[in-house]
Amino acid sequence: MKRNIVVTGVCLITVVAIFAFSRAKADRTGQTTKPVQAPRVQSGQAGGASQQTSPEDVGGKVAVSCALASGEVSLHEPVVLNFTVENNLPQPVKFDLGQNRKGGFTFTVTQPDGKRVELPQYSMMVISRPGAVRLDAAQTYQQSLLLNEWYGFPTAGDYEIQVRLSKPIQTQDGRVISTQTEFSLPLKVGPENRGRLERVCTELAAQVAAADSYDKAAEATRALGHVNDPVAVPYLEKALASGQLVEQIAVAGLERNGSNEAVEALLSALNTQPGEIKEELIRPALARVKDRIFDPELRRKVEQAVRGRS
Amino acid sequence: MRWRKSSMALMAAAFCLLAAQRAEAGAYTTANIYYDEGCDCVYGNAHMYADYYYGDGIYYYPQLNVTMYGPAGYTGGYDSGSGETNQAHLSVDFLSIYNLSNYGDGEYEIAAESHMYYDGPSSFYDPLNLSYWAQFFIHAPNFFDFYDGPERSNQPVGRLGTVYDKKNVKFPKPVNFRVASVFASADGAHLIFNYAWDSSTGRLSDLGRCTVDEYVVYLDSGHTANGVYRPPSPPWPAGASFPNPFDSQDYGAQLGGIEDTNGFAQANFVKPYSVAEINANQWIRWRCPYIHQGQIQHFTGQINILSAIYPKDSSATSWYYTVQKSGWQSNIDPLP
Repeated sequence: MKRNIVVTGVCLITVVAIFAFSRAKADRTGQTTKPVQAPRVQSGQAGGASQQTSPEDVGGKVAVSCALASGEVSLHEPVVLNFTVENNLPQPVKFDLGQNRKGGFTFTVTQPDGKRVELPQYSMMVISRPGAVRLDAAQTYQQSLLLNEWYGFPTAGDYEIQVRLSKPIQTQDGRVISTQTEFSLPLKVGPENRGRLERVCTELAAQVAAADSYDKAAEATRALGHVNDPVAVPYLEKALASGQLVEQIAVAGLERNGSNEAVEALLSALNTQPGEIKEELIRPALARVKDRIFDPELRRKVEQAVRGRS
Repeated sequence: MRWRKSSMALMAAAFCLLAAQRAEAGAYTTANIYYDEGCDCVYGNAHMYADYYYGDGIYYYPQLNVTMYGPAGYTGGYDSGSGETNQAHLSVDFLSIYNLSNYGDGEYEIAAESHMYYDGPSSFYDPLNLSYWAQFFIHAPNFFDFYDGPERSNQPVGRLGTVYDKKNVKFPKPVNFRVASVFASADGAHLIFNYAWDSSTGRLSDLGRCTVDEYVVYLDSGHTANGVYRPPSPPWPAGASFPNPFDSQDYGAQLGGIEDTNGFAQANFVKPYSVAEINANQWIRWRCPYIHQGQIQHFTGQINILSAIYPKDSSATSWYYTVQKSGWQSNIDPLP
């Protein structure tokens, strides 16, 4: 009896040891290693917010403003919103502008026909600028938003744009500061004006060429890419060739433009741009724009270009 | 006889006078290397100066040859120039600007060699040493026109020589790329990475002309057409589509960090659920216009991103969604 107990015990120990050894071996080879659960952030926690019932009145020392770069544009011109936070407090403040510093804004547009359209909130599964901003004392934060990224302003007429900040401005320790968070901005879109549109594009192209930073070149190129008219095409070509590293934005702009002129520009860029730009940006853009081409000869050229490889 | 001696003495005196005048006062050459952030240039500057006077109607041709060498792999650029002057003071400046597009961090060297010519490319004169080298012609429209014919020396006896400058130049670029933090969204639908980097100069603001982006390839070619990947629905959200390949917009590298959100924008998975996986490969990259002509450089190698729907157990009555990357995951468990 005693011997049976000992034998059974040894067998059990051996089995347990073998099992434990197998598990450890699998972990070392990585075959059964499970991904670690990432810590969850509760809603609003990412910005470090602690909610409170009443915002703190700081006597207007933190000023938030939203204004259109121009309250009157012609059809197809870019519509730019300038957002500013001025911190006149003796300490820093913080705010969260959401994904890519765009997701924290919500827009509602009242169209010329009176219809109200709530625009989708910016949300993309890509790399983006962190939304959290810390603004030191006596500093001003400025940002431009190209509203055409949300809405095309397709017809001439009078629009009303409501802008709302999703999250409040706060002190560093999380106290909400009382500031204006909703703005109503009138916009007049005039009829198509080719000469004016040409001047706008010329100015934007000049900004790209003269930019001393990528961000400035990118902002101007993005605006060009949302001019929904073939007049923008030669200026986008200039941006593409500018050496300011705005190829992705320029190619996306030509693809969005989609005119025959834009397609010809993309085809031409296959002969001038380096390999990675051609294969990663231009050929895929041509593949996506192909079905929007009605000219059979142009479509044939695009199909050939999409099939071809350098 | 007496008259002849006087004449010869006079001529000798004149010769000596002219020779004395030919002698110099001083001459030097300098060369320097500069890095100009505004033009993304490493450029060399060389200056040649000679201070002497030889007489009216004499024309001099100072020449400065400048050669610049970049880091290993770049064989050098060359510039030269000359001037013509009959002034007492001669100086020639050269500013050679080289586009940095093929350059990188490293040592740059400039060599500046100066010569002085008279009246033709094959003649040299070294005012420091009162000697001349090779053949030259001087046409001096005055009475003491001794040098109408060639004068030659069989070998060089000296020249102004070559002056060098060397500098190590570093160009601002993003370095020390790392994962700063990882978290999941409150609903579990998104796995979010915060990446960060530094500047090689120690100042992020120096990186304003550099950019960071991502490049993603979805591996399911069966559901990719005309450059768009459309994962099948159900179970994936209806209408979901992604450019394939996808090249994100660039962001200014002076940000020092980016946020990378992985998952579906709208996690509206469609029943009936079934085992489904989306595999994608991602690269995070950077560029600077002055580093190798703005060619793309890689922060990371290939990073796999898996989005998947799986049953919780063999009964398949309950399902969950998971997004996994770099050893981290975020789940919606269970799916509704």
